Amino acid sequence: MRRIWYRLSPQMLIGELLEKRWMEPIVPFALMLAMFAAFLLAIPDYASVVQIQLLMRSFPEQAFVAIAMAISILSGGIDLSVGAVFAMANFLALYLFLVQEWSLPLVLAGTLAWGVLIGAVNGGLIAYAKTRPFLTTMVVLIIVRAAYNKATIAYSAQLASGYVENAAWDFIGIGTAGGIPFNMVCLIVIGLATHIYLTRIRSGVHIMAVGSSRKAARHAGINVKWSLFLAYLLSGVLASFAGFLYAARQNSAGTDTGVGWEVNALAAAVVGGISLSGGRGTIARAMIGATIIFLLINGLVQLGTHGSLTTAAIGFILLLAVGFNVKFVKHKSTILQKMYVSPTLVNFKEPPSIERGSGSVFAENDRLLAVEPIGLGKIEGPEDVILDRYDNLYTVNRNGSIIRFLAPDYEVREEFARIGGRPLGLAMDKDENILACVAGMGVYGVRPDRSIFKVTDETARTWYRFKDDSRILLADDLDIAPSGLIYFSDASTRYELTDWALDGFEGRGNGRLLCYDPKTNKTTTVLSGLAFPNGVCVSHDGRCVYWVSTWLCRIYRYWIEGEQKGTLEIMVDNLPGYPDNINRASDGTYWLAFVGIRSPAFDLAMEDPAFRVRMVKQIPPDEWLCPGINYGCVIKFDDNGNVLESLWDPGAENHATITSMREHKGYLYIGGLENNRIGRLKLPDADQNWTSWDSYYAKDLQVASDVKTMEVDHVVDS
Amino acid sequence: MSLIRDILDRVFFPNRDVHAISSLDGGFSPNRRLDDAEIIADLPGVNGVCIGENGSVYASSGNQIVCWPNGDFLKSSTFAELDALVGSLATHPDGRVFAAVSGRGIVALNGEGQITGRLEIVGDTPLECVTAIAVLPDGSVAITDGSRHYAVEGWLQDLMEKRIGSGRLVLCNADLLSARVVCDGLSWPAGIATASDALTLLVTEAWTHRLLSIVVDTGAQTVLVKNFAAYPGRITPSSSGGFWIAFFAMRTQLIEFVLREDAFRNRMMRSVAPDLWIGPSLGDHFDYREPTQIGRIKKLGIQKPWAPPRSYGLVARIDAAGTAVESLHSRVSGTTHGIMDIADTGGQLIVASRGNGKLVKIELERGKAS
Repeated sequence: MRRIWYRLSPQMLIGELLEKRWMEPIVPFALMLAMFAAFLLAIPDYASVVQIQLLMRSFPEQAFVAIAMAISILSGGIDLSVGAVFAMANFLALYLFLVQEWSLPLVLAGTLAWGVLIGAVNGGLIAYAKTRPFLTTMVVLIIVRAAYNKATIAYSAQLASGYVENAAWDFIGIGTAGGIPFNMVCLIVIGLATHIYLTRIRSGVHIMAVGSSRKAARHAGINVKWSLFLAYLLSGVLASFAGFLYAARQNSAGTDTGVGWEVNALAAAVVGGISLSGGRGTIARAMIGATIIFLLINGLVQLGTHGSLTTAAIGFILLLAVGFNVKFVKHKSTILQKMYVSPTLVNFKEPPSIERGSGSVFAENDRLLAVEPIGLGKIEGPEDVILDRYDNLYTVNRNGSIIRFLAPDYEVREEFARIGGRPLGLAMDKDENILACVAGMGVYGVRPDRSIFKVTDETARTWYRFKDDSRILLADDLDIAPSGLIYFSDASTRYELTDWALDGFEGRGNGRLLCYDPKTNKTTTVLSGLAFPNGVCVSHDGRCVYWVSTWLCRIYRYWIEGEQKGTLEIMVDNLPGYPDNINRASDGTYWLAFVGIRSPAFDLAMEDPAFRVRMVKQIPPDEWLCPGINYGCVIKFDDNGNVLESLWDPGAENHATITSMREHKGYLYIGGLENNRIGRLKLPDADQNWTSWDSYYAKDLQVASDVKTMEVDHVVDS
Repeated sequence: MSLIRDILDRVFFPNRDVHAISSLDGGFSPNRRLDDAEIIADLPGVNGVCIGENGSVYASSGNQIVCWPNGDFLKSSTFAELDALVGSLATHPDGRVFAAVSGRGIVALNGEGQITGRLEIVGDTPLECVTAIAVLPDGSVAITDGSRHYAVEGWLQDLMEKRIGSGRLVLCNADLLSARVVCDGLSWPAGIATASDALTLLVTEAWTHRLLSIVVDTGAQTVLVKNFAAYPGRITPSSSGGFWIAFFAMRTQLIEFVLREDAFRNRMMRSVAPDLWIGPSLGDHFDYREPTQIGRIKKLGIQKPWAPPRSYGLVARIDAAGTAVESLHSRVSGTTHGIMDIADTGGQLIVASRGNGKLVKIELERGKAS
């Protein structure tokens, strides 16, 4: 039960959710749902079809006004005139339709022209005359409101008695499309259009940019004045369109029409979480805010609450929501930081002894004492090393380059190629290209002529995860199968290389084993949910891939050929250290690097995820317990999963971490993720002519040359 | 929530340790003075060091007490060999040397190294964990007994078990007779020195990271310093005024956290060897399997000096009010860790590094005297 809880980890889910940008309005959204639920309980038949239709019918005008307000706020200003513009548009529509008896399209055009006019006045003053948005729009509000009051009084009799039979007008007012009121349909369509405009269309994006930072926008070459002008124009048009819809629905222009709507709209924007300083927010948030305000007013009215009490309630809820939202937005990153790391349960058994003289195969010894340094101080973090057929030594550097040390004495260092990212595991293909796993980038290759090519950087996204894992985040080690398929590991889909210790601290199956097919140029996920897969190595017979789970201290075997093809088995479990790269040895066995040695205290912490969760929350990251990787060693194992020997650097004086080793012509070359040198150890008992490249490709070469000889013979014969 | 808890704590328990570990600044600003010091002797397991009347230097190591007559560090001799681990040392104006013996109490040795007196029990409780000895101006001897549960070697267990303080401050006359308990219930009192007024004693309380001032006659306590960043150990008067305090290990946030995590800590104590616990260390053992913290991972083969310490070397000089005036450090990457004791010869400071098994000597700048 505990295991399942930690494996599924709701915490991780929430953590990954919080990372999403669309989670920002989570508080207003929850408030909206809560509001609806509350009224559902308080008011009978609240969720009936009729009632819902009623709600939907009276909502859109307010929502349009809220959107109008939102656009002005997003542009970095405010438009207080939206309520008055709305009311005036309502009057105008009625006047043009009932008194002047214009045709419907003309009425609509006239009403929108009013919006354009007033938007142009606002925008012109604010953008070009550089007046303050607040004062400007307030003055416009007062003037338009006064004009509206005059006009409604002057024409009240005509409006009240006017009647024009028009089906389209009625449809706009009370018609439904598929059960949804027509004005609601308008809201959905225009809302979506506005959203797309502000996020995808150039001039809309410019409005957002101006709202975020006027100065930066100007420096980026955006026409700030025009963008501001457009924003107010849009605001005016949307408000007047709301007035048109309202006119069609209500057919009346009362003295209180649109009174206080600018306040509601402002409240909606703020409750929805649109930043009053501009640039931050979406149309969806304005809609959420508008819904909250609307539901609240409507619900309280339905409950028969006194008007002043309703206002007070709105004010109170506003205060609460805004206060909470401000805190939430401010601390979201902190919450995320404390929530993101989601440790899981790992049960370790007591590992084999590493005590010197204990008789264990892992017992500490002095066999790496004789290691001679190569490139001491001239290399930073040689995670992996590889040699070509001319004995030149290639390694990776933490600045993203592939470094070459020239044979035979390895004194000359040169930058062979610069890929970028953080190159880790290396392999050499048949054409003697160097293939490198590059953390943060994917798998890249370098040809002998130093040109760089991309092998792959993405795979299919996991459909059920919130986090987009299609990019290869932490390519770690790779090897090439006889078929040409490239097997490589993506050690973690949740952490970058700099945070590898956090991945270890989590102990979760965040990684995966991927396979790139050069024929189809496609990358597929072979195995997923692996705890830091690493050390990918194709067996001598080419029938299986060995890989290790660094955090679970296991060696796995994955069959790629033969009758067991596709099956996975644990070959060695409970290693006393954290395994890293595997490479072939000359005697048909395999070298394996231990990047670190297990610590009983850390093993114990791995059994207690709740302890680690609290640790993450209470103490700073530098103080967190982590897998001990200051000391490493090298071991050797065979195809049957027997560990044969271990090579230690006592006290890890020379090689703090050991992440890789490569055998080449009787020497073992040692690399480490955080080391300042490459080590070279003479292996007196090894085959002095064996090279890794020959072990992979010499057979093919043999066949190829045989074919060639045969062809030559053939030619000679004929 | 934690803020409210902190405020309540400050109001109701003004002397309780605050949660935050104070940072090493002001008088505690890091330097390399301990690492740069001259090594005068390699002495594995060194514990106590003191200066005799004629300038002789005595140091305890294992069961032995080593002596450098007349302060000449070229030739040493074994002054005495006792039957258990020797800890703190103190000299009496009459030429005798007092030595703390783990699990036994204290012994008095004459100039030839022969035992002339013992104190092994105070009241009904044996004196098994003598952490420090000080000779008062009137010739009487003050002793701190760290805990009733462990001998001195069990300091880590005592810390991690988080028991209620059971340490004592004991006073006896120059012949180690008529011993009485001045103060009881101290949390591992680890160092003792006579304050300048001779009526009070300064006592360091390691597990609560405090420096106490205790009136000899009444046993009344005042807290002078309440939140050291490290575990304070022995304390000795400084020739330039104030007192030297040896800090034998640093506190870290991880250790403080583990000390709050009772379930985990108990499991760890049951199933893991003490050397591999998450806890402070004197730095006197090396193991591949000891716990690591993220900040302590070596980069390019270099251990960063500012990494969270497992062991550390720190000596500080404080003034009469308890404020640090100067300090000597051997940081995480240094090699003079686990400072058990210090002795001020007047011109030199002799520092016993248990972690690296050596005695080092620092020339004191006389001009700096305050």
